[in-house]
Amino acid sequence: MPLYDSEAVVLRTVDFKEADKIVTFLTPGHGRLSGLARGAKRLRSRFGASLEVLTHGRLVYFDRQGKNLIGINHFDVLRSFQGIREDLMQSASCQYLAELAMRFVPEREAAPECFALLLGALGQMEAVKDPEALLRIYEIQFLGLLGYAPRLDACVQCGRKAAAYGFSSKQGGLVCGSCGSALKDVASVSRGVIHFWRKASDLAVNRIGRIGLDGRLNGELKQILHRYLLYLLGREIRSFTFLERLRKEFGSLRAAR
Amino acid sequence: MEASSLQRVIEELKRLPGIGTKTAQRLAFFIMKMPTEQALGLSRAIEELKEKIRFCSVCGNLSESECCDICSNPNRNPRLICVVQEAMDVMAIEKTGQFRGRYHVLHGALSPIDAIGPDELNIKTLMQRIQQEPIEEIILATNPTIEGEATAMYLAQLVPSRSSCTVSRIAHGIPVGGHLEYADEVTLAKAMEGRRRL
Ligand SMILES: [Zn+2]
Ligand SMILES: [Zn+2]
Repeated sequence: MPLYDSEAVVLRTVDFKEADKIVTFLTPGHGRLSGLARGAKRLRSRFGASLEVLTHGRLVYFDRQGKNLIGINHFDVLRSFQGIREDLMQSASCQYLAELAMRFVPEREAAPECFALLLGALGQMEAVKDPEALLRIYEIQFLGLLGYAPRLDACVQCGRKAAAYGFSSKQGGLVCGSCGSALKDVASVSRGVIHFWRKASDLAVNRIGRIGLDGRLNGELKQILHRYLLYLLGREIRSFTFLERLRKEFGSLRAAR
Repeated sequence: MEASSLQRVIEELKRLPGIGTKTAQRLAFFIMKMPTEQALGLSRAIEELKEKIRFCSVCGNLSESECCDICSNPNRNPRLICVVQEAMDVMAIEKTGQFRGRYHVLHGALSPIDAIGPDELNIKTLMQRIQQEPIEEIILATNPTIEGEATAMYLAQLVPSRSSCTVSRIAHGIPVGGHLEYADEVTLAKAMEGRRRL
């Protein structure tokens, strides 16, 4: 049986039977891949601590025809991102990014840009002051890579330029006042949001952690992006809910320090 | 052929983790050939387990009464609480015979993608305990997985906001009897970080 070799990031692990794990990876060449890691739950397993969510490594696997799961031969750690795991906000933020990849990136289809974006975000997360700006830029770029980038220079329906726009998830972009009046899901969107969205779309992956975002603008953008993602996915994004809860619970605590 | 009672045992055994059809068949045949007294002993033990065992109302550990043996033992140090994910972890730590404090069992760890948040864990009772009991130190002994670490960090932020307890985390590192050259880099780094003076 031929062995394949690929870079990969662990997105999710689920315990399977007594000692095994089912592990889902994001790979550049084959998108999402899930496989069985035999004995991975054992303390002295050959996988050690490597098969942990967010770990970047080199995956060696075999793939039998007609089987959905790959067989994991080994996984060598390239970066464990230990710093992220030891900060609650960073850890929750990156688990959210992993959930987005779990839900949106198709199985067994090349996704080199999604992979580069996730890896870029993980690499920069430890150094950012506030993960929120990075999350918004990530969401914007991720949507773009999946083919959901909204039209930002004119109304998506009539093609006309307008002085002010709303955002419609269903239409997937900005709508002018007269087109928007006939739609039910239009959220108001400020010039600042449109400007940031444009700027964020064009950022190089190695710079996504270097841009700041003020709180008010972040709030507005977060709501629009989240509604858009929910619309596209058709279900709750659980890690987002968790992240928002942490912000509410510890946000005031942090400010007091 | 009338094999339905045997088939029923096989089906019930297959519900257990790690047991497939073949193993279930082997076990069922084994039970069938067992002396009657032993087989009934097994079935009675399971019955008793389900009738008597419940969760301790104080710490969440397995117990045969409202309050478990450890919580009701006056010789256990009430100022020291070790927080673990599962009741199995209590058993593991008890086997060492080294810990003289009390426990708190969370029944899981924070896992946002599985919709396990703070409300799904036994955290509310822990917060009541730190206000009502003379606790001085909380030892976080959750697993060194991303879920276990997140749970530990969550509690490390929550506890000091509600009390003056000290919060500590168990050390992680090389298993005793293990070899350095076989340890993965994360484990090695953690072991280095958790070093102590001799
Ligand atoms: Zn229009
Ligand atoms: Zn108890």
